[in-house]
Amino acid sequence: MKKHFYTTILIVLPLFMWAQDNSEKTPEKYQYLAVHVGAGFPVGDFGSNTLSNEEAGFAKTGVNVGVQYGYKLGKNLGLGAGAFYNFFNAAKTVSVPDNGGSISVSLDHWQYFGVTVGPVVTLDLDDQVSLDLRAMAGVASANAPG
Amino acid sequence: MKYQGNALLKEDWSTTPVMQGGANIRVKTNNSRIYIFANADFTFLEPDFTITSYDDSFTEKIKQRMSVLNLTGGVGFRL
Repeated sequence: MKKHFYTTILIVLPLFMWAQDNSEKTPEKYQYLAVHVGAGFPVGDFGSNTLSNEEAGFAKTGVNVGVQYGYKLGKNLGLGAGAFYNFFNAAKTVSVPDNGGSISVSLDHWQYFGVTVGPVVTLDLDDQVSLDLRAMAGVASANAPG
Repeated sequence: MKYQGNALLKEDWSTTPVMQGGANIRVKTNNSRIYIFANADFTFLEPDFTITSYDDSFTEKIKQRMSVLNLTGGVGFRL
């Protein structure tokens, strides 16, 4: 019985140690690159459909795609950079009151793209999960509807 | 912009500063270098546009405040 036990240990222990060696340990300093896609929700004046609001953008929910780069410099601090593109259809037709009737005004779409850089604070919630908080600034090129 | 179905105003492009603030959750998959991302970002920009009619008879400068909440997901790699 003891012989079987020691034989089992001799076989299993190296396998266990090999498995440990092959699991990726995340270093304190590292870089990452990510691509993401999702929805863009206009808020405030940009998404307003109110005709009396001179700042109203009539933008509808749109799409966002982007690339994100992070350079973790230490336990919690790092640098980030991103490139993004947003596209929004505008409310198709707006009826404007005109002498008892109404006229039809329509916009096609809004869009913009840009790049940003800034600091990133990273909190490791556990071995597998991290939370990154970003404050970024940059430059964008925006397109008004034609 | 179209008025009663007819093209009225030309489109315009403008370059402007942009600010972004946000957070993402990164989940490492199976002790590998691959991450699954979930992001929430707030973007703000306020470009100046010059709006011109198709017959060039009308021009006006406008400023459009653009505030957007982006909710996205994706995949990333540790380099």
